[in-house]
Amino acid sequence: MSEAGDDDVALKLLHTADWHLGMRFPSFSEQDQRTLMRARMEVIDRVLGMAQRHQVDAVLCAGDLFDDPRPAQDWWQGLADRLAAYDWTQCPVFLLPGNHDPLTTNSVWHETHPFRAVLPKGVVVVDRDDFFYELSDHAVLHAVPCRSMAGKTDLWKRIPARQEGDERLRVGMVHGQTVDIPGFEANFPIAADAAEQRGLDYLAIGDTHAFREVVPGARYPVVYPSAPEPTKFGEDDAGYVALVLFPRGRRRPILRAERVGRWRWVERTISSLQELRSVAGDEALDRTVLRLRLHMGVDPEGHEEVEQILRALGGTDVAHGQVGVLQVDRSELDIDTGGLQATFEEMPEVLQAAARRLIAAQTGEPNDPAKRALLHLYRLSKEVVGP
Amino acid sequence: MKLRRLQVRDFGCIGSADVAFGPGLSVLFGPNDLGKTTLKRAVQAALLLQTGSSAARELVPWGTDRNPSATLTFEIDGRIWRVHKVWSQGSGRKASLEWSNDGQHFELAEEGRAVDGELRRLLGWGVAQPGGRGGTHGLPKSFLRSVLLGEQALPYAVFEDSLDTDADDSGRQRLTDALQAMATDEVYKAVLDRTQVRVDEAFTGTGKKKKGKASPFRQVADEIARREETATELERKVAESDAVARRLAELDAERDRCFTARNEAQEALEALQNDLRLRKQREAKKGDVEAARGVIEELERNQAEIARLGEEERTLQAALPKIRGRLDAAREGVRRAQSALDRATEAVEQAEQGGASSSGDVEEQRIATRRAELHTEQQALQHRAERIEAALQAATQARQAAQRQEEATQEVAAAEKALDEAQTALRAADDELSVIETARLWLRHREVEASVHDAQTANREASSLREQAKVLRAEAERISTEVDSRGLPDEETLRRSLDLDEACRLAEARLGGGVSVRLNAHERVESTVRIDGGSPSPWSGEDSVEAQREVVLELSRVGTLTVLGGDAEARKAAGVARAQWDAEVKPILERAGVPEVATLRAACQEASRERGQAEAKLREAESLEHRAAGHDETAKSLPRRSSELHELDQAIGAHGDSELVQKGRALATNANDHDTLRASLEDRQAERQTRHGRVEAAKTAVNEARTDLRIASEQARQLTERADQAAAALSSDPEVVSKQTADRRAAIESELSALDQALADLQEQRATAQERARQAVQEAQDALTRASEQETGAAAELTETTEALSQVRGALQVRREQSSRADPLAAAEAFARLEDELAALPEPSREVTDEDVEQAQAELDEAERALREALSEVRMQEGALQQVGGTVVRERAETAREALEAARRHEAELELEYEGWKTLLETLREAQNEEGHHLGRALGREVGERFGALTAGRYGTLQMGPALQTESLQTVAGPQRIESLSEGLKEQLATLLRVSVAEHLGNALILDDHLTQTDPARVAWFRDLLRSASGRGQIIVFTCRPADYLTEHELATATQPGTPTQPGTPTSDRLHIVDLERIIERIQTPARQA
Repeated sequence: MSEAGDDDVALKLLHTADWHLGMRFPSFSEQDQRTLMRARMEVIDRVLGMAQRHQVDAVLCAGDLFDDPRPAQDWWQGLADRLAAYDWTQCPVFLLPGNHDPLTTNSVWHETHPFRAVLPKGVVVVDRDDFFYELSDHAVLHAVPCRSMAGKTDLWKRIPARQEGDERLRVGMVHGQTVDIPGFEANFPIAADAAEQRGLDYLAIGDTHAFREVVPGARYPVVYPSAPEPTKFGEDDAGYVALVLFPRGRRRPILRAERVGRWRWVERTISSLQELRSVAGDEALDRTVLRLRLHMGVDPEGHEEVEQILRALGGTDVAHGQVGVLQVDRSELDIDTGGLQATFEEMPEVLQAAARRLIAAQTGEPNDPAKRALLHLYRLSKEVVGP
Repeated sequence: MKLRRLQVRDFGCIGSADVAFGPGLSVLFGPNDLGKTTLKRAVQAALLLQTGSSAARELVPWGTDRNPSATLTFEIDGRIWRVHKVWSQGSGRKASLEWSNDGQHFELAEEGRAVDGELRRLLGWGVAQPGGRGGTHGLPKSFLRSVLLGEQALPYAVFEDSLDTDADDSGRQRLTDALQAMATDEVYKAVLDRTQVRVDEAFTGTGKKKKGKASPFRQVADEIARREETATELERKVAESDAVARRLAELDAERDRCFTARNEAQEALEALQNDLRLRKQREAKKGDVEAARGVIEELERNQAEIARLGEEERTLQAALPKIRGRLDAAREGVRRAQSALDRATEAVEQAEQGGASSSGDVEEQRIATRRAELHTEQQALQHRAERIEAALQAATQARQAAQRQEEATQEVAAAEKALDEAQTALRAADDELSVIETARLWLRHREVEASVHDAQTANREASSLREQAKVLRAEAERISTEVDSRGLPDEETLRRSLDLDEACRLAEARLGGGVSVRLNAHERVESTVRIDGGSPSPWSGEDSVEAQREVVLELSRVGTLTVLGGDAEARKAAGVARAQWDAEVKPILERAGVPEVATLRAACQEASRERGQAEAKLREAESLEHRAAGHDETAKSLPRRSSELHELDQAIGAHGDSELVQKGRALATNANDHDTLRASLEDRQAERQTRHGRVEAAKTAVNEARTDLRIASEQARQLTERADQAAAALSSDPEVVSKQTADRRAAIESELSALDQALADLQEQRATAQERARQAVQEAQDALTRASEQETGAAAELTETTEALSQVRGALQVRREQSSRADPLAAAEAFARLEDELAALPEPSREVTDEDVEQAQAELDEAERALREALSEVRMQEGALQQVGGTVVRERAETAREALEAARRHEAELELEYEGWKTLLETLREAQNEEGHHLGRALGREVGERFGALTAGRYGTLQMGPALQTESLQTVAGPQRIESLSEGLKEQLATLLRVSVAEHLGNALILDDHLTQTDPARVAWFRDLLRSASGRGQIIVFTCRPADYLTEHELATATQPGTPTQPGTPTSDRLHIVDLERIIERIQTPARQA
């Protein structure tokens, strides 16, 4: 991929999609949910700031900007406020309804919705099936909105084909799934060569949360820019926008994946205490959503260290944690209580008797209350007696 | 429980008695048969025997019908109780129970039958409630009753009892508490307390999971319920979406099938049309070939005729000279006739060879030329007909396109009408939804109003409770401050003071022996006197002063005279004790502002009681605050509820349409619950979704119809243009031109036929003229014959030959001219070309008729109709799919499932965590009970140690069961059964056991001559033991041998005249001695009087 100087660039676009503003994360605690929801809005500042910094000619937002067609006012007002922080009169922003936030009569995109009234000048909602916009004398944008949450309509086919003799740069924008993705239900399907079929120099699409040029190196690229912040575990290639530079002479555009996301979603299976210690040694976890699956066995003393490390990672009522958002799955954490009897030898006889009873009552089952009770007794005894 | 006072009247052998008990050791002595055991039975009866019991008959004084009565004053946990009973088998029975804090002023607690129940509850001795399980009609039994109020006859009957025979567990619990309190480890207690706190977070007192808002189970259960509801709803949508998707897939297949069928029908039609066109082209071409073939055959026939005529000419030419020779011979004879005949023949020849030949040839040539022109024109017309056909076809297509355009326009109109209807229905559904939403808001409004009211009430209640708690805390604080300000010592200091005071009194008691001071003053002296450390009192000096050990005289203006009894050593010891008392006890008394240690002790007890009251108030305050906190949970929601109420007001107001709002309010009033409205709302939402789906489908249909219209319009325009171009190329209306062409072609055909007919007529005319010429010659020959017989024949023959020759030559000329005008090569080439063209035309695959094409067209129409229906259904399902959500709802369902699983994991972890705490608490209690309930282990060790001390180590631990059943005694020789011990050992062991129990319970113990089989040395040992044990519990000894328990001095002091025996005034805290002979007034029965 070769770079072009500004003098050689006929058109410069910033292509983003899948903001999913208002998305909830019910698997997490209320506090963590708020953290993650705020992150979705915060990244918009960086997206818009990057557009300003690169002095792009237009910002293409290719759908699923809200997670729901009727988001709460905090979200649409928040987005409007952020958009209002910049002047878009020379750099229009195009907001495309996607399948998560389709253009319906009661959606946020509808012309009667108050969101439309507070949008600053230069921010344009794609609310027509035959939408087009002359970006310049030599470039035009065609876009087609989603009007429902599901459908098999080939929206891209509604973009008119290039007329003979039309030498302008033609850019398209739709939301949907490219049909080359295996195992995916074709929702608003998009052909891998849709740009070529419709005579487009670039087709900006949204839906998949990973940065992907559908046919790498294609003359007429079809590109997913990814979600600017991941929405779940496994979205490793999220966190980007696409910077698209069109050289003069209608040559293939130059693509640059620009990082805007700050959060990483990481899943790790921990199989030893040493491994957990090494996680705790990683200092760059404050913007990480970390899911730890503890698949390991420890003795009670090791378990105390495990919990201590987890408290350090996740934070407590009085101290921030090392990790931005922490999820811990202890269902496969096995605590070996076999050697606990000896630790009670210095304890009062009644506690020794209680420990003996609990050890005898253990069933060996995974969720054995007697085993848990023994651990409680061990910890309480140590707390009371002191180190 | 400790006894303070017993008053009896007409009880057994006692007429009346009033006995005070000391808090420590009380020795009540008197001779046999005085009534000591009766007094003990009076205590038992006062505490445990119901007033109507038949067993009370034994209490009636012999020989009388008096109702025995007893009043017992006792103390439990700092509170003083007084029970009064009158036993009677009739109506005279009475029972009352009173309480007091100061022992002076009593208030009634219970009376009548309730007295015994309350007493047994207070005692906690394992005695059944009256009328309850295990109740008896007489004096109820229990282990503690046997231990504490044991019978004289069987002092060691306690070995035969155990807690297992008790009617209830109160005795066991009291002992367990006492022994556990003794044995409870601080670490264990801390662990137990913290465990209890965790268990209380999640479980009720009965071990069930808490269900309140604060319960951790409730919180997670609520969360799971919410998430389950969300997940279920989303799963339902996913299923719905899947069903629609499956249906859509089926419809896609159906649509594809219809597409295929339509395409196949179209292809079939086009193939048939093509075959038909080919067949017609071939037929036309075959006609051309046949025409060309006719031309060639005509030429061939002409050449054959020329050849035949040439041969005939040559034959006639060869025969002509012979005929002329015969004619010349005969010509002379018939010259005239011949001349006539020659003229006639010449005239015929001229007519036939001259005029007839030239006009016939010209006509034939004209006809041939005309035929060629007509053939050429016919071919041009053929080409033109094809163009016309193409133009007509284009025009037909244009008309069909226009028709399709019209149909599309109608479809658009129909779709727009359907859309209008669907939108109208949707608006109606929206209105209904608004009404139901408003109704829900109104319903919620009512609920929230009620919640706000509850929260406000809770807030006020919480404030009120906190105010009460504040008052209680202030009161407790005031009491604590006030008690603290009294300068009272702590428990240890008090005990030390008591010991010092006792030591001082004992030391000073040893000074006793009597002191008598008499003063013979010469003049009156104002003085005060203090006797035996008592308070100063004025003394006139006239009487002698008697004291036990000390007299102090304060003589005005003279000084202080102190007279001490006892020997020097005793005085020294008393001085030391007093000095120690002054140094340690006196400041304490001064700080407390009390004159003596007994008062100090009472003050401390009072202070302890008041502290107890303060603690009770604090606990009550905590309880109130806890209740207030409970109300806080409700009150805390007030701002949120108020805000919600405000939001609801705004939300209801936001509906704007007052009619809808009023409808909603009316609906809410009728519905009265959310479920009804939710069901109605769901129905309406489903209906609205359906209608919305219809609107979307209608919109899609409109868009599709408009798209179809646009396409149809475009096609119509293109086809029209094409038809127009074709028509323009024809420069006239194609149909007119086609008709003209057809007419022209028919005219040509007709003209060709006419030409053929003219040619035939011409040939026929020529034949007719020849025939007429031959007839003229024949007539001339006939005339010549008539004129000359020979010459006639010859002339006729010559004429005939010449005429034949002329005919042949004429015919030959015509043929040759025709032949010279024709071009056989060109005709052959044209024929070959046409045959090639015919061969080049493809053969139709089948024989096709117009009916076949019409049938194929009908099949195509049917296939297109089916396709339209399939497309319409696909659009409907696509509209439905758009509504149900597709991948969006699938993603959300997946998220909801993950959240639900996370909540369930959390619940499982929470349950395991709290089940662990619960299990731990139960296990701790079991372990504790195992240790504590094995009361014999704790008690047996202590009893064994004392018994070992008593027996110089010969005996060790007393083996007792968990319920204190006595099992064996450990000796140096091994375990020994109790039954095998001597009577003395058994009563000593029983006494030790009873003392130990009483000590631990802090309870009164009544011993009634319990050491009758014990030697004096061990009796002395027991005396010291009882004095020691009386520091922790109250011991009351009824004995006829006071010397076993008292020193000689104590006994002498107790029996000397003037010793206070007034009830309620013990001689000391540690030792109280009562001479029962001075207390008990035996009943005067007639027999006794006699």
